[in-house]
Amino acid sequence: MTTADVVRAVRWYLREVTGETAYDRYVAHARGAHGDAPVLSRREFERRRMDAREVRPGSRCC
Amino acid sequence: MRGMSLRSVIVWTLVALVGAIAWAVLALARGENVSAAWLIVAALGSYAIAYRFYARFIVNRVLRVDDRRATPAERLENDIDYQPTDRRVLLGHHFAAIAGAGPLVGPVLAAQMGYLPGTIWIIVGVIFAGAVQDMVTLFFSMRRDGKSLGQMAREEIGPVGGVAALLAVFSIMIILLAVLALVVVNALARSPWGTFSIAMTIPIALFMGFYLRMIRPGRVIETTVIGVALLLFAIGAGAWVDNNETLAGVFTLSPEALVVALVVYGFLASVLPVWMLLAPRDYLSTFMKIGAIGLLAVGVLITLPTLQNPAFTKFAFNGQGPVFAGSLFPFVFITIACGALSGFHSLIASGTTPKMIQKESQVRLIGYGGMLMESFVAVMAMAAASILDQGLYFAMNSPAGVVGQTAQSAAAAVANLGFTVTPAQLEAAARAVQEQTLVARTGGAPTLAVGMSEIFSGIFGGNAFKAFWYHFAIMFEALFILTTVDAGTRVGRFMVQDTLGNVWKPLGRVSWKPGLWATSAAVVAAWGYFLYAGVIDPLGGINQLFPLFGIANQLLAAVALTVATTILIKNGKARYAWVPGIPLAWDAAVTLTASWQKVFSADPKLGFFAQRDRYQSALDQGQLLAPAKDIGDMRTIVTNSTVDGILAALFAVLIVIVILDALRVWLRVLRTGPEPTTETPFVPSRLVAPAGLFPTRQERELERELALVGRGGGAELPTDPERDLRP
Repeated sequence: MTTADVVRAVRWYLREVTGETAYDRYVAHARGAHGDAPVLSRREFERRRMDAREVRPGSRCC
Repeated sequence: MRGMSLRSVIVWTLVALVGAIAWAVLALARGENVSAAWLIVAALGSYAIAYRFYARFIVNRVLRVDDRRATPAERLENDIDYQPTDRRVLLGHHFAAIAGAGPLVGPVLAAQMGYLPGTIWIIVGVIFAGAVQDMVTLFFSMRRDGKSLGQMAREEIGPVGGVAALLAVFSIMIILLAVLALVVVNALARSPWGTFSIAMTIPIALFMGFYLRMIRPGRVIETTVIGVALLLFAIGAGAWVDNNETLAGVFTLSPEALVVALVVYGFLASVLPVWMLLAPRDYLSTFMKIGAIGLLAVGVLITLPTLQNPAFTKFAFNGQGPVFAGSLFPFVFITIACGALSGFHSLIASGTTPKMIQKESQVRLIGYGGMLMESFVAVMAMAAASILDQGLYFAMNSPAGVVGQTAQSAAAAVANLGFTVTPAQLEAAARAVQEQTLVARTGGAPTLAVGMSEIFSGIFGGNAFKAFWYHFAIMFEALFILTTVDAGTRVGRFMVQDTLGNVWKPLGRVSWKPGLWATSAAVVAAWGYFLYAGVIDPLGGINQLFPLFGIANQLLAAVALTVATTILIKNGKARYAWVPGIPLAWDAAVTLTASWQKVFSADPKLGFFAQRDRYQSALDQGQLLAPAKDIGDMRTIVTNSTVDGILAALFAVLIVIVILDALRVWLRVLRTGPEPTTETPFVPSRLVAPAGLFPTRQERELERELALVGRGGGAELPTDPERDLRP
């Protein structure tokens, strides 16, 4: 495993864990499944995703 | 061991040997210098064997996970909560949700009995109880589309068990929030440096929230990096505030003032939009959590400090310890909940995580493995507390009622306990971390912070950096406690809204603001009451409240283990009912004994009602009993011990109700035979993903094969859905 591989793996993990890749996945999904439907802008998508957390805050334990 | 290669046999024999040697050193050393490294080796060796053999046995034989079956994440994928998530990413999410201040606080308090009782319970407890609970709850919830523990209790046991479970969940939430907030108050009281840097997290989080919402939507990593940089700057700036007389005065707050600040903060944070405060704070605290815990592990391994704490202190046997009253059994098992067996985890294992699992076999990595990681955090907390000088440890962790306020009174009291520390040493220790005093800084956080500063400064920065590392440790604990307070208040509010919504519809509506404010205020008032009672308690709030927190947490564990046992028996797997059944029996024995003693013990140090009677009768005769200084103190003690005693009794009754109600179901099923399953019907899976952290050779080959037809890991199976994908 080279340094570049490690950097790539860490970057992949951080982007996945923080949810940065959610938008990419959404775009791929929207284009793939319903090819002609309008795709939300990133701003609009992130806003809706965050506001959805309002009703399910998710417990944090001790 | 069918099918185990010679190489595996040799490797696992070696792991077992090394682990056994480490245990022998820990258990047999008397009066010698024992290195903290042995704690780590014993833990890791035991975890490895448990994960390889016991967890595998449970997954294959007891639960019979089936990777041909689609998980709810695959079947119900909806871009909101049902989302097949890479197992390593999900492990990160799950760990961040289960681990917080709990595994850091409990072991520090339990260290008063020596390092061995707590360490044995943390390691043996996690293997046979805690990790089992997390994994089976996760599995059973996953097989039911991610149902919550409360729903499962109602469906599997009955309405009575269901209501008792709901009550248990709500009361543990309130006590948990109060105790954690009390830890923060004790860590920040009269500490301008700590108070300033924690206060700064609010503007930092607000800035991050606006940045993420308005300027760079979705760029979480970049935002978090900026936030962490600001945070470290705030910790550094704390030193400057501490040295500036005017500013130091502004940020020197009494415990009572901190209670008001926390209650107001808790209310505002829970009614503000999630994006403004909760979400950015969550990013910060998760990052700090992983970073600081990783740093601590590396620190212990590099510096290999020597344990000052003996294997057992006399308090293990006489039950007269100043940190918390009561003997080894049951109170070590109550004090250390998180890290060994934590009922609260069953809420997370039946909440978001089961809706995100890709493959059934991954419950072993995420449920069992995630809990082993938390247990490891607890072992390190035990190490950090045990490398401190014993005199300093008891001066810090005994309530003010025992050690007084000054270095002189503390040194005298510690000598009474049978340890030695001079006033000059106590003052020097406080000066080294730039705190006014370390006497009676109960709650575990300051002790852990001193231990961590000891370890970190051994690697980075030397003595000059001790104060920085101390406040760094305080900051990271306070940070994620505040995140828990914020999220917990919201969760509690939803429960109140949900329940009251059945009585009066508008209150159930999540978007109706007055209802939202009223229910938020009710939840904040509930934990705020216990927080305030803990702060003004002359006997020491941690001393009084922590056992209640432990009992409540173990009560919830009893509910989760009862549900698991019931499901196994109903599904015709009664021969495996011992897997959750033995930890359930142990947990019930511990919790009921503890509640019994807290309610009925005639020793006023231990029994809440004996304590109440003692102070009430003195009050009737117009006398003052130490540590009370006036009639007000006397009344406070009487009220607090009454409320605490009623709660301890309530928790015990709840456990008995849940278990008796389940027993009724068990007997019925054992008489009439297995009942139809409540699982969601089988749907074949088309997803391919490895089971463990590292893919096996077969899994890698399968992934490569799929990549050839244009699909990567975690991709859908392209051709034959009937193909057997079991490893």
